[in-house]
Amino acid sequence: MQIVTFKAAGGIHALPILAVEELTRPVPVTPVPMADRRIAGLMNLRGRGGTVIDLARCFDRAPANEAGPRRMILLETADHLTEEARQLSVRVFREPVALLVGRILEIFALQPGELRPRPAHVPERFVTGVFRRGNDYVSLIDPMILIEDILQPQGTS
Amino acid sequence: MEEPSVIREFVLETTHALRTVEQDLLILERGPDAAALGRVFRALHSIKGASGYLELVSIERLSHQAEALLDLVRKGARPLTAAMNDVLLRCVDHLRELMALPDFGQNADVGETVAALESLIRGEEVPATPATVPPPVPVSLPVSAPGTNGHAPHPRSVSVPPASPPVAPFVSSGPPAEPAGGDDDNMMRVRVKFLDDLLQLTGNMVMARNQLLARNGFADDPAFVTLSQCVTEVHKTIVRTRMNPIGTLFDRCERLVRDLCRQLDREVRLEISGRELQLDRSVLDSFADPLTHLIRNALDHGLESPAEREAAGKPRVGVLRLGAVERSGEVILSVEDDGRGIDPARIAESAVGKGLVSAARAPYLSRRATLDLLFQPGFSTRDEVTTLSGRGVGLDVVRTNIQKLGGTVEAEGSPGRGALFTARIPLAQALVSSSLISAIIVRCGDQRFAIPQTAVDEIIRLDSRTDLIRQINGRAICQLRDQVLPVVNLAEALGVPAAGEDDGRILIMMQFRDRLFGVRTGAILGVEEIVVRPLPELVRGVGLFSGHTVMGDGRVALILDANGIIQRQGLVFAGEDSDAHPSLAAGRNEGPQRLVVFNFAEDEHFAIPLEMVSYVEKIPTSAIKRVGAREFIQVNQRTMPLMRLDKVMSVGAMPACSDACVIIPARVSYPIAVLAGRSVRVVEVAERYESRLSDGHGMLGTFTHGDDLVMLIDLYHLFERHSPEKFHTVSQERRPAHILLAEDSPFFQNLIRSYLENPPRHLTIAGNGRIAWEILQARPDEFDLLVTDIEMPEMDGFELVRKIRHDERLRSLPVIAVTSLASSQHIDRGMREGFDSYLVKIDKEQLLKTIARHLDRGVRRRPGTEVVPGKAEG
Repeated sequence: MQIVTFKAAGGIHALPILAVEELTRPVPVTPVPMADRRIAGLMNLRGRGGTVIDLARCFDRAPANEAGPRRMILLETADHLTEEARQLSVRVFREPVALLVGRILEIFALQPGELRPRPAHVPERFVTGVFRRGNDYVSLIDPMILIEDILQPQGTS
Repeated sequence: MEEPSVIREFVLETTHALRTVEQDLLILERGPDAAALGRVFRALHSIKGASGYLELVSIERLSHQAEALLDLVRKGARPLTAAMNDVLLRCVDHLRELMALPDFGQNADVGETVAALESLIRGEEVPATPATVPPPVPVSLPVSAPGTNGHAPHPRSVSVPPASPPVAPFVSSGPPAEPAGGDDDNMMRVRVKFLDDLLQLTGNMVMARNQLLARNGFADDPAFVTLSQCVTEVHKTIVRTRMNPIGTLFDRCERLVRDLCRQLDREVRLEISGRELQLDRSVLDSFADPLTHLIRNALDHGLESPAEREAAGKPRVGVLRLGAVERSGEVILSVEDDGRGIDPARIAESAVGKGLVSAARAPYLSRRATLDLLFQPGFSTRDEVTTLSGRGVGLDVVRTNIQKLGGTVEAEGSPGRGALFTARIPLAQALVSSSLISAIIVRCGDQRFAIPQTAVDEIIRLDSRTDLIRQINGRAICQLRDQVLPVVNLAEALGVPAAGEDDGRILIMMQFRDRLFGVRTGAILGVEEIVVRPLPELVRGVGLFSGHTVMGDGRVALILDANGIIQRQGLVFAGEDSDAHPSLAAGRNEGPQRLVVFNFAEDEHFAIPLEMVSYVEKIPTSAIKRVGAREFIQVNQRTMPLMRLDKVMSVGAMPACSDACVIIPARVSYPIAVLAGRSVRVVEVAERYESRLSDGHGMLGTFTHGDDLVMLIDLYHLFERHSPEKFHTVSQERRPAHILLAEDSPFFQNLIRSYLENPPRHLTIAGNGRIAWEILQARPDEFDLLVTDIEMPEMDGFELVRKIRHDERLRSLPVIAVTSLASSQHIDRGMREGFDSYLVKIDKEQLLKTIARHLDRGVRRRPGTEVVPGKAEG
């Protein structure tokens, strides 16, 4: 499976490339007052608002302020997902969503055997597995779990 | 040309009238029917009057001749023959054709029909036309099923009898008439997808245009201005092509009702109103499911079988009403039946049984909360699962669907009396995403927000008027023309840091469903046409915004939602549920109540409901003036009597002190300031007060708050004791206002009556000034307001108001002139003769606002108040 790795929240993370539509420089984001704290705001996406999620704010123990350059990962929308992606059970949201992350690192093919289950000390449900890349541990993210978590915040009805 | 709203009103009324005329003519064909004849005559008479007023000559000519003919029939001078009916029906068709023309057929040839009518008036025979001639326009008329007794004043009224046993299911004995495709040649079918794409593209065009506008040099370029206007027009046209009357959706429901009646053994009369409301097709489609569900629910759970109904002493045929109306920026869909109704007690019981609410909590739920249980997933009022509404899907699906549209749905009703389901969908969504609206762009913190202009009532600069805003224990209010309205600081409500000192300088009065409140914002950046986009799902839960848009600089701005602000901020409105559904009255005392608690003697605490408080003001006790036994205080440049509690009930006196508070009551026509000690606070009490202690002399009951025993007092009662002469009628707000209307034209009588129907007001109509004068002479204390025409037979409006102003008993009666006499001499004269307001056109909003303002002021019961200087409104 082709993946893209990037920095965020003091660690290295990965997304299936089939879930990604575009990697971009940050564009202006309009904050949405009183929205979930993980949401950075809305961006202009060809005349419509796309939701921007700040990945750093999705982790329990993330540094207060993300340092360094930032990038946006624009996710595919469900109606544009390829057949191949569906077969690999890549899931994305029906509306446009972008993740605000740190530096983009590399794109490469992850071998199925390399992925291990999420370790017990990682509380984030959206991390579906981890693997080693050189000296680093990389966590693979299922963006749809992340989005579902925001749609239905735990602890509230 | 007249104002569009008048024309629209005329079109709606006339279209409706023509429909009933046709029905009634068909009834008359079956046999003499004085009532039907009267209806036809009056309908044509008012069409004649209104078209005359609007100078629509062709329509006036036709309706005039038809009216003249019917007058003869009514007087028995001519028998109503089949041939005559043919001509009259032809006349109706002709009128309908004219109504459909853009210029109402000003130059159309109506000679032939007029000639036919004239010869009938002269008593001549007209050549019989074959009875089977198809009408030239589609007959969008209901089917009168066999067995219907014809009196059906409602727009569309279909009686659906159950299938007689031999008829196989689904064999329809009276299928709805398919509209004959009269206009087919001028129509073409277009894929919705193309229109969607077009709309999207023009949306982008509008935004690009706005971006250019923001740049220098474009705004004044004539070519660009033209282009810009074209873009707006193109967008509007495309939005219009997508519009359909909601009637098309209701039509589909008609068949559903018919079929369900067969399946369920029901007899139901379907009544539909508001079918003319135009909505975007995609929105109509999204209404289809919830509406279907509510109809199924009504037929399955609500309406009883004919046998059951008869046993319960109800008419055998049940009534199902579908309605659609647009009000204050919302589409309101209603489904109402007169079936077995809703029993809150049973709902609560059932919800407990299903584990939706605990048995301990259920009795404490407010009525509203109990009814809301209906929409909980897993709730079904009928225990048996039926083929229709069972299967685990219930009203929760309806709510989910409506919520997706940004709307709300509520149930109302009482046992045995039927149920009413009301869905409200904000128009911004209902119009469609990508619709173009005009919005005020404001700055708050370092962000921009858009406020739809339809939600804005007024904009006030606070620079020199900071006194407009006051605080009652942490809640800001403003006083605007005798109304006390809640105020929200936008930066605070949104939790954004206020940037710069001009934040809060602007007060924007926003409205939602007749509720008015102020929003303090930073600078107003301008008014723009914006393309409304729905809020992305991930931020929809916020509830403060109804959508978003992309601004000229390419950045996203959020659109503020008036209702969302009211909900999120928990705004309290004076007299909130005074005109709520009567069945809600029982639940009035339930749920938490906000009370203003104050002391008088040091340790005696009193409370009055917050809704009854206008504002609280700190005063030095030296400001209290004595005149004889009375005390007065000047607050806000207004002198009013002061009431001490120990003078009107047996409580301790206030100790001498240098300063105190006065509580100014809301919703009274003769305000009396209530003197209070220094501690005035607002508390919320969930528990009911102990009403056994009510003494009938101003004390309603007691409750404990913290360590204090608090006495809930009845201000109205105490005011009455304080100034019996001012309160011989106890709190006039409690009875509906009684309005006298002097108007000679039935068209305008009906028009104004229809305006005043909702909320219902007590209306008496006088056919001219002299009759109005006689009514006023006979009952000088009866009326709260007079609305009068100027030009009337026997006594005109000028003379009427002059007489009123010279009559001791009537002098203070508010009088509003509604007239087409718009010249400045007329207005001047009107003001001189003593009208309080002079409305030069019939504009519903304007009229209602003016009436409400005068009623609120209670000028009538406030002696010594200056007559409000009349303004020429509009």
